[in-house]
Amino acid sequence: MTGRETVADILLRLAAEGATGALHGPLGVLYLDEGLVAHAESPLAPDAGVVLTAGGRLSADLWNKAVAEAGADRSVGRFLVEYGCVGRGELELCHTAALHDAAYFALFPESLRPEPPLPDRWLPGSPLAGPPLPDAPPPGPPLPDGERPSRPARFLRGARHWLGPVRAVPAAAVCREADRRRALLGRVWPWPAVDVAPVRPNPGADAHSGPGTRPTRRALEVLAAADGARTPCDIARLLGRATFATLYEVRRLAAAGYLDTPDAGGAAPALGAPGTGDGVPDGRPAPPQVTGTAPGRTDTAVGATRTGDAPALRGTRTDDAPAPRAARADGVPPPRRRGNGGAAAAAGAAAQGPGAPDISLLFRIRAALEAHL
Amino acid sequence: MPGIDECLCEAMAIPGVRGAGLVDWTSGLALGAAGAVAERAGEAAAARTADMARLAFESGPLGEAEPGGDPVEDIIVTARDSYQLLRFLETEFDSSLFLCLWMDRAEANLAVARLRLRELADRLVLA
Repeated sequence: MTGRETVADILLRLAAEGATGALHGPLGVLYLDEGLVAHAESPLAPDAGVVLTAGGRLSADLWNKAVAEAGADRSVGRFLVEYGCVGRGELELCHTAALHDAAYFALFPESLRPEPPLPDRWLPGSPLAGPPLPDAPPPGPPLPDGERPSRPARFLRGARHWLGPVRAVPAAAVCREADRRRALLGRVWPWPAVDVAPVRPNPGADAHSGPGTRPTRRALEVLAAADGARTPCDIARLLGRATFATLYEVRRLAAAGYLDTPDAGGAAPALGAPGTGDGVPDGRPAPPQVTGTAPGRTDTAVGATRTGDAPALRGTRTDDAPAPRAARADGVPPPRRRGNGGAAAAAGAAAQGPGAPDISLLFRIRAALEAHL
Repeated sequence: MPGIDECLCEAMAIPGVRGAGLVDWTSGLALGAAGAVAERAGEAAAARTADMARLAFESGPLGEAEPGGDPVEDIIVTARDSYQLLRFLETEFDSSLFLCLWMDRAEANLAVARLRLRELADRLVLA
């Protein structure tokens, strides 16, 4: 690994100098005010305006008016409080939550995969985006699909956010919190692909749920907003909720089997020898399929997750479910990507057979084991 | 009109309080801390408390996760030498926050502390 500084390293260095300005990273911006983090913004995290208006606390008109009148003076927050639109406490709570939510993405290490997808635009023209800063970086040329911008972070000295001072946080605390959140999500369900893929409810969810896995009210709201196309980031914006809170619920729902688990990284399937063309299970334990780098996973292993015909699951279930194994020997088609009705239906039917083990539990065990390889 | 720091400062003025914090139970983030929890070890304490708060809030008072059921208002944890008092904040925007007091059991009056904490929580979220 080269010695290139991460955004977090740069932030800490600038904070130690007591700098003021905007640190632009690939996925977000961190605003420093005399060494403290005063704001953070990311296209992947709804800002305080979205949260306040979506929750019904403020009307969008009122917010836009505040931004229009006080944005140029960089004092929208003070405007809102002085005119009684929000309480000072409310603004601080909302702003601090939004700061950490955006900072999670702004500080996202480039070495982690899959990274959240960079939207085509940073919401220009949206009334909730706030006035464009005169010193905002111009959008770069469009990149080919799948390529991430590799420009290093840039610091625009002296730049200030239009919300104005609310409550600044020490930079080290922001970095620690971002790391802690990443670890927390990994503990819940070590499958980063659910963070960026569209959220697809699993129609067979009730068969998988057991005691203690019934979704909470907030999780049900996320599930209700999942239409198969919206990503967790889209759902967060729709609900006026922090993206991190939505990611957390999505991971919990995936762990409990309420969501279709997407392929890691979304690459085209490259099913290895044990999966392709060999529909006959023989109960042998899964050959090592996973590469050494966590959280990366080969597509063979991932394709296996979906269909349930995986060597790993076969190995696990050999002793438990002789009936499904016999059924498979009758020429069930080889495992395919998620979306193939045949293999998925076969897996689903086998899962609900008499004495079939709890699939969601097996998924969780398997994912936890892979995460430790 | 208090902000987070003023609210925690007033919480520290309640008799018997050794530490006060404002925590998000989804992430375990301590948005503010005062007294005995206002340092690095306090962040870990906040995160652990957040787990307990989240479980209690999501389970509801009768242990059933009913979507329309009673929301939990506060939690009291009694230990031999201390009380821990948690009060959930009700905001008109989406949030998952609670105020937390750590108190010395000999010095604190639990009923008084609970009422004061409720007042502080209400003032923090009102305009």
